[in-house]
Amino acid sequence: MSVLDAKVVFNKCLAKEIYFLLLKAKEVSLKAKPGQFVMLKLYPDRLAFLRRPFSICLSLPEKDIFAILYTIKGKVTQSMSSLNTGATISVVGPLGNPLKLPENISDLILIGGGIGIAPLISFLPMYHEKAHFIAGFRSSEDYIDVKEIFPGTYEYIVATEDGSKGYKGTSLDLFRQYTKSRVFNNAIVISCGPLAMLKKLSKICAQAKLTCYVFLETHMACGMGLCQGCVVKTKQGYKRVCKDGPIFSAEEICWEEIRD
Amino acid sequence: MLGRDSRLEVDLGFIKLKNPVIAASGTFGYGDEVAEFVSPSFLGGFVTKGLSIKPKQGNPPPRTCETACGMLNSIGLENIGIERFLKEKLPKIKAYNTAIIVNIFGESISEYATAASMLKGVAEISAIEINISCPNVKKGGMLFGTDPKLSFQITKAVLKESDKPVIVKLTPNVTDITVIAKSVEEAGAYAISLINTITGMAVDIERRKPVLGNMIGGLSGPAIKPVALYMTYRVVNSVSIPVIGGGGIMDYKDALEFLIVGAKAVQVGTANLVNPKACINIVEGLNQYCTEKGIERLQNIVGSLRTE
Repeated sequence: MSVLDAKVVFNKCLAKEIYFLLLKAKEVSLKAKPGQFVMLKLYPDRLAFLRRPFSICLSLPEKDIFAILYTIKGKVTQSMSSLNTGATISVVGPLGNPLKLPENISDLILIGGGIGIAPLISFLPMYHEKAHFIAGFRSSEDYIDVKEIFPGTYEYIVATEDGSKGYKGTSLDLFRQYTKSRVFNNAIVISCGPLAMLKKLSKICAQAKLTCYVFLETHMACGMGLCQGCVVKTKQGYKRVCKDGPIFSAEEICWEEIRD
Repeated sequence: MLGRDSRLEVDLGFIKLKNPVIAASGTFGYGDEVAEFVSPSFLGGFVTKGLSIKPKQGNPPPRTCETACGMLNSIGLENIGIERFLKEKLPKIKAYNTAIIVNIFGESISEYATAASMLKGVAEISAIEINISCPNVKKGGMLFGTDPKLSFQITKAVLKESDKPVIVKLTPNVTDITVIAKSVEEAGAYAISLINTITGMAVDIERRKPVLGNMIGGLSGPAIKPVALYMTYRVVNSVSIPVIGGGGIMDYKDALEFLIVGAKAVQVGTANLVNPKACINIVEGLNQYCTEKGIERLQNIVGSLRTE
């Protein structure tokens, strides 16, 4: 884990208000494991006091580069979207407890809701041959072609709420459709997206007896496990999303106690 | 070696620190988390997360919220309890060449005393800091720290049960902080640290609900520095025991302000959350300041405020 200044390699708009940012930071790219994140701060730092967490979507250690995919949500991401090549960003990371998948999994089903696809992409370099990537977007306007970010042999299927691209419906509708006609012997589901979606998914997976992991997002102050601010209620008590997560087994989360 | 420059040494009377920079309770975990970024051995000392007799689960989330030049928190003193701390954390952190200060709290005077007694004989602990200033718990915490009689009684009770120097951490949420400062001095406190967070809240205008799960929280960060500095200045001039000042310190210049008004050492808190190297950067900055100004001992500037 490091605290360092990273240079922007490029910062490209991929869809409506969605950007792909490549940062040069050797130590981060070398150490990053699937599912980890970084805490970023822009210069000059008057814009915001605390750092902001961003999932690492890809890490290319051979090029000393890692990537994040972000959407414009507030003043920090707004300002981030105008960064040019060569600009400097302060980085703390990689952070978070990486998920160790069992060796013998047959299928990895990745389900992303909107910008929630970002951390799921980080599993593709290692698992694309076993992966099924299901993504849901509002419309073709915020659609991201994950195959463009990481080409591979996995299946990439898309749903949009208005039907303007792919299947008409949500990622969960599509997931239900997709799994109906298939039999998985040792599959694992990993998902990231809005809380309401993760809640529903955890029920679906429990019924279907599918092992399910979810990425949770809470307001973080430090991202390093110091302040215990970003906790989520689990069956074993409060756990820190930054240090114990951000990936949790869907079964261990007390969903009814989380406000969405 | 960095952090060992003799110019920065501090003698608090009951404990010698290699430099005046202490990481504040609640912003440095139990000392082991941050070690992945930077060795705590560079610090003058660090204060553990507040510990109670039994583990405490803390307040419902959300527990933090950014505010102008700072943040609110309502962690609610979540901690693993003294027993687990001694068993699981202390073995990891005792190797650090720095003063380990254990922060304790309770819901009653006797709980404070019991907490102190549980740390008896643990040689690796340099001092105890009593938290009578947390705004985020319903029982204990700030209730004690706003009452000079209770502050006195808790300090006395802890001193009686402890074989360690006792530092009392004060809350700024009082009309006159010097009243509390004098009462804990009278009770026999070895030193005073201040300030804990300032009570505050934030509202989500979309939901018309408090942002924090606990509704109220404690404000920290640069937003509170002028208040903290003023209170440190006032306390320094009302007691004769050493004062450890802090509140919103982000860099070595902030730290110097506290030293100049009379704090012998400083606590750095929220800055650690933004930059795990904040403390080490402050130590470096103080070294550089000594070199630039030709200062042989940084302690010479303590209380050197020119008021005329």
